[in-house]
Amino acid sequence: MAGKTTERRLRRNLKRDYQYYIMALPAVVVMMMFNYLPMTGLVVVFKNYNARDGIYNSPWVGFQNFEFFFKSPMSAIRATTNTLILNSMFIIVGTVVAITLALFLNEVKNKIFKGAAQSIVFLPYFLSWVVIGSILYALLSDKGSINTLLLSLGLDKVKWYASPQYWRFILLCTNLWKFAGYSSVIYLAAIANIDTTYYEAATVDGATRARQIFAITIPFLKRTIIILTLMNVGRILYGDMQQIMAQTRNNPILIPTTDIIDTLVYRSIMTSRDFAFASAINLYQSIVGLLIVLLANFLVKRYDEDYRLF
Amino acid sequence: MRIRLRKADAVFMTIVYGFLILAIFFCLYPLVLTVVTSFADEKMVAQNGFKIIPDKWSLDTYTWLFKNGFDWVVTGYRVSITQTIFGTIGSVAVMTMFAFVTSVKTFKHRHKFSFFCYFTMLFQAGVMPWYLFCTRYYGIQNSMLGLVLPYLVSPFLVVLLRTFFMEVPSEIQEAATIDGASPFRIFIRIIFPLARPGIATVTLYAALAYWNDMYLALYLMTKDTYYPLQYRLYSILSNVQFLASAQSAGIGDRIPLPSETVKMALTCVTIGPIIFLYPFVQRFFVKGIMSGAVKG
Repeated sequence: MAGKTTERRLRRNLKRDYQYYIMALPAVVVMMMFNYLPMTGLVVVFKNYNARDGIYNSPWVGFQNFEFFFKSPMSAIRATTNTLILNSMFIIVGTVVAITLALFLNEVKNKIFKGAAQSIVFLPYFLSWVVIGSILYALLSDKGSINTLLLSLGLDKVKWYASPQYWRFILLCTNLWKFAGYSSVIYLAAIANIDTTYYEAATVDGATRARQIFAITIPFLKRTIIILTLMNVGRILYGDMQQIMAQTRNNPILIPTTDIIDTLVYRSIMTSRDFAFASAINLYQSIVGLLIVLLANFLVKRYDEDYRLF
Repeated sequence: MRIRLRKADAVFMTIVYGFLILAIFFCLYPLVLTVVTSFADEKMVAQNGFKIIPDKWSLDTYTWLFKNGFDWVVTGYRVSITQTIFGTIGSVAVMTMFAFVTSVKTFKHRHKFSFFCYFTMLFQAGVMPWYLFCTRYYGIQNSMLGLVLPYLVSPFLVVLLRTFFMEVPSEIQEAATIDGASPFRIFIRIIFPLARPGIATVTLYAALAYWNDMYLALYLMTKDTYYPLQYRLYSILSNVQFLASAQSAGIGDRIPLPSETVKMALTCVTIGPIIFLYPFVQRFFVKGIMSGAVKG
């Protein structure tokens, strides 16, 4: 009897809800194709992949791929270090600059200047990394305007595209260029939510505007800052391959300071066709990446239930 | 006391304006330099370098581009526009329906569907298996599908849409259900019109992602006919493939190779649509950021 009622209820629910399933289906199929099935494809790391047999039929080799990986770990370690250094720089400096921009934009009372400034610093967000790479070329090439400036100051030209030591800084600059304006909007939104009576009271008490920023605005922003930072930390092992490739113009000389995990995987797959190595470093990135996200999410959750990812 | 205070504020405001003017300068200068150089005389640039006020103005670069690279640019535009249009329409259709399902309070399994989407943010299989599936099992390399399908669902945008849909009062939906409207009808007739500004925001995010992308082309496209604009510009910058493709298009014989001004002209050609649309679309992105990830 019980079975029959369950069945009837299921059928009734299905009749009522079937349209929800149909509407969700296309997205589910896409996620299956490009996210979930590739997860099962991670078994390729235990296989000697060859194109003829495909992922599932290639012969098993156990941990052999990891042996290669651990025998020559230099490139993987270097790529990991670069990824961590670059992303940490992007997170720390990026946050400081975005907040400064937001705070200062908020101080401007002239509406036209404020609007114009906001539009202009927001603009680079809309340009692709390739376009930014090309613009960067206008600045850094041998005849670029930075070298022209150096010459006019009586200094020597710098061969930027052959000097790996400057590139972490250069990538930081382009990252700021693209994202500072965008992130500042987030902080501006948070600032707009602060009750203005605090500022009025502070003004009556004789606090300067600079002092009001440190005593009122920044403490109010703390929550937003911490949550955004933790969210970024969760993705610290993933870099933007397009940024690196478009700006270094794929120049091998610059690899020591600019090679990140994503570009290393790209080269292993597309250039050297070393699937064994690519799969090993890929699995390592997936698993460590997952652990970092879980940790970041755990911290967000402890800090504020509302902003947890799941 | 009061005067000292005003003086401190004046100093502070000078710093504020100084910083902002500097920021504006840093944002505009490289862009202006790029645009200006595309209208500069190639010889002078090669001799004296990139200058914000060129030694000699010239339209030669664009004339050259029009004569020698016309097909190349037009094909790039065609691929990029096709990719952006189909990708945007497809992803908005797919994502709005899915986000609606996760937003309906009376649908019991909505949390399961939400988690199905969240989980893709948490655990990423990475490029290697993704690449093998795309090339070996789906066969979407060197096809328009390969430039569209992989980006159809973005978990970030699904979350954003869900937030917008949740803002539509659930009483309206309940009333419609009592009147006998099916979920799909509610989605089309109520949610879609009421959440239109939100959907517009997501549409623009999706369009920007497709237009600016070169990732899919890097991994999945090996044939010239499927290279979007971004990838074309990239191959000119990295100086590898332009020769090959230019020669296969029969234009290799006449050109002195990709010169500095041509690079800049192609950059302008690539950003063109974005700069023109920017004033109209900016506010939608601001709206997206404000209702998105983090509230104050």
